[in-house]
Amino acid sequence: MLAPAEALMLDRLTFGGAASALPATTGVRRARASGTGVEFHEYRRYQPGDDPRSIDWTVEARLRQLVVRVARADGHLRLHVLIDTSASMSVGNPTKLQCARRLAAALCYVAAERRDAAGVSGFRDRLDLFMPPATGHAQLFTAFDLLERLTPSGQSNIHHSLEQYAAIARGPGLVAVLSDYFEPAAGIPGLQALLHRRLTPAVVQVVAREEISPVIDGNTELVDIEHPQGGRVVIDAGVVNAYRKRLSDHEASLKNFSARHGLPWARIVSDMSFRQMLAVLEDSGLLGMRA
Amino acid sequence: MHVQYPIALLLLGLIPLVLFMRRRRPTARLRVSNLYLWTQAPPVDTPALVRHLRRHWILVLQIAVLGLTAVSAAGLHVDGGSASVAVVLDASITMGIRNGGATRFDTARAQVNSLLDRLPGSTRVRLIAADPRPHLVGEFRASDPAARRTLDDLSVTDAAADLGRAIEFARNSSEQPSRIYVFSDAAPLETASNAGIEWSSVGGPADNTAISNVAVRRSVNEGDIEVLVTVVNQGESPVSSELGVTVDEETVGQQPVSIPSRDRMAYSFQLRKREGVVTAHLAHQDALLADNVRSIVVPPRVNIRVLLAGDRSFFLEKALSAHPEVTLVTSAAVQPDVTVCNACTQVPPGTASVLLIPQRRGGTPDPVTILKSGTDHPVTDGLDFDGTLAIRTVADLTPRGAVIALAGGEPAIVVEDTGTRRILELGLDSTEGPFPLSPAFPMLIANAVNWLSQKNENPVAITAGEPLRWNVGGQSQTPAVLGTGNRTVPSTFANGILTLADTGTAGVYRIRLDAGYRMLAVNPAVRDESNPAAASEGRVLRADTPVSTTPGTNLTVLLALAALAALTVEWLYGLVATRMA
Repeated sequence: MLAPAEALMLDRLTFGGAASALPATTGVRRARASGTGVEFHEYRRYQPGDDPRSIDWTVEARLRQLVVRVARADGHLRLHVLIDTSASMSVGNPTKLQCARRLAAALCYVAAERRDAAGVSGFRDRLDLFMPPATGHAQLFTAFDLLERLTPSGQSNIHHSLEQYAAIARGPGLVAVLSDYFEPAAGIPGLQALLHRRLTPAVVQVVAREEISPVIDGNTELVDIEHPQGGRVVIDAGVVNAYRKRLSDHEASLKNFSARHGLPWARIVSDMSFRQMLAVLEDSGLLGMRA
Repeated sequence: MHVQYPIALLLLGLIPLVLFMRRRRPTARLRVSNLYLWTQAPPVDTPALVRHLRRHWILVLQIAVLGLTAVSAAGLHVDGGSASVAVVLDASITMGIRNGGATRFDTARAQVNSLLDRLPGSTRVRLIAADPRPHLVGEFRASDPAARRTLDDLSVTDAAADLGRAIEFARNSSEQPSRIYVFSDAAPLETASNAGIEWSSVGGPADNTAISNVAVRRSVNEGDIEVLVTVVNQGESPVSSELGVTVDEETVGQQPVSIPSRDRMAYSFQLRKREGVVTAHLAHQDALLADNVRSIVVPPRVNIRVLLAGDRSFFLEKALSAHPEVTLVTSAAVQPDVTVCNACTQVPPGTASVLLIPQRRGGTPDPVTILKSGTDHPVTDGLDFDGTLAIRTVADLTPRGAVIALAGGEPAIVVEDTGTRRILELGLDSTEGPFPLSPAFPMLIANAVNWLSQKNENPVAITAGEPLRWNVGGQSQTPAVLGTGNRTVPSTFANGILTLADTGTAGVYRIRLDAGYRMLAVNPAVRDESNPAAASEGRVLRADTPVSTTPGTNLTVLLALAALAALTVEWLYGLVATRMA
């Protein structure tokens, strides 16, 4: 699932700022909240009741002020990886599903390496594969095995699937939703359902290169891959620009929603290299460099 | 705007084929993960038509190429400012004369067709048939085949043509024609040299003999009929032939005739106790056969009862007794048809018509000259006073009706029709003076009695083209008129008056009345028509100015270039697209 070189790249990574905000159980992951960890977090003025062992005497010697060192709390993260396995994920070269599988494997690997709990689920028009998060390398291999068996088929309903997942999963946790989000509402109602259940969704939109820059020569008949017997549209090159604008608006709606709720948002093109994909995820804040 | 080759427009039928081929053209198929981004892709603020044109512009271009090619091949011609001309075609009887196998009318018709070929196709042509009642046959474009078909349907009549009236008719039409073309065997009218008339004379000189008149009268012998036939020779050489008379198609008389050149001869036939349709035939093969036959219907015998009142007048009584249909009655107990009141001061009461000769007042005045007034009237029909002098009975004859004759500049004969009776007031002395002794006096009295009795008023023979007006009062139903060949002739009937306007064909017409059939003879026009010697074939009087027509624009080349340009654009597009691919 992952090449050794890719694993090496992942060893340097941990989950980013979005995951830090989550309340977590004690673990090795650096939490945003202060706690009993060893890593310095900040200074604050001494208050009666503070542990005298936490007073930084060097500061008192220089400044004649009593300040205490506050350390970060260390905690475990519950990572939920949701993969869209509908037929639309078969588009692209490599396909969007192949790309999503590698992303999911990478995220699970990072979680396992940080001793976080990770689970993988798949959905189409409903949740049809559910593996709750768990820790340990055995879980990682189970997840890899599950990811290998995912095949694209059927119709997608992101909204309904995320609502269904929010109903059965418990928060807090980080939910990486890997999909193309190609439905009229872009799955935003489902993302809101996850938020409602104290799950933090990370929006990872996986698209194919041909979807970003379609090449239309003359009249082209478009077939909806999820409804092959259904709607067909014959278009020509004249509508490509309008399509691009529509696609841009669609992505902007997702991006705006994520920004409004402080959620990671990343758009991954399926033909990106593994290094590029990690860079995009780092930029989105889903992953970050380990300290 | 018109097209020269409409059949080329059938190419437009290939446009659906282009659409079909475009639709059937193999399209690339692309599997996409969604359609809604595509279906909602066209911006909504663009009109649907613009979207379609933008999307299918190459198809529009191909259709335009095909359409332009089809219209170009059809020879689209945008008409310019089309001129309007009138064609007056003589349809008189002499146009039926044959010169060299074809009739003059055929020659004229060929010339009209030639004219239509010469005129610009957009020229509007008003075709007017010249007969006694010039009428518009139709208005066509010069290129319209219907004009030729209408021409073919035209035929000559047995009537004379009033070309002057036909030209006025053409000139006074709703749109003033820029040129009037006249095709006739008659010599150009004096007025034809101006006002844009182009006169084409057809037919050459020909000799012709015609029966110019047939008259019948009842002879003194009870029941016998005297037939007087006048034959006129318009040719350059004498004519000898046979003249026959039939009554109801039964030959009753025949005699040889010999007429010197440019002369006329009268022949009489005595028929015993016969009534019916009298027809005279001249067995002579000449240029115009139609005028070698002439008919007349023997009028029914009538009896006019005349009551003499007032002072006696010798000349008046003699004039009345000379009228074969007058019966003098002496008692008012017998209802008279006409009352002749000599030296009366006022009109006698009653319903009978009155010939009133007022009582002479004053001394003997000097005789004055009698003159007909300008009004035509049956009472003065055929009368020639020729400076006859008469003594007026009253100096101030009060005109209560129409004055039809003057004496010394004052009214002398006044007629009045009250609707129930007729009154003729004769202000001339019937007892002394030159007038009672003149030939005009008995004719005047005879005409007056005929008119006053209101009998024999319906003509029994008319000339073709003349309208017929018959008084058939008392009819319970509309009379039917059957012409030659038993064809129904259109007529009008109102207030007891039967009017027949379409009398262009000679023959015996039958009029169905309540009392049975009455006959009417319609004879070919002869007076101005039977002298074809004056015709001058090929004489053309050209108009002074040419017809002002604005030439139209033939768009064939322009459309062909446009089609070529569109084809080039389509080809270049295909070339560029191929290279890009």
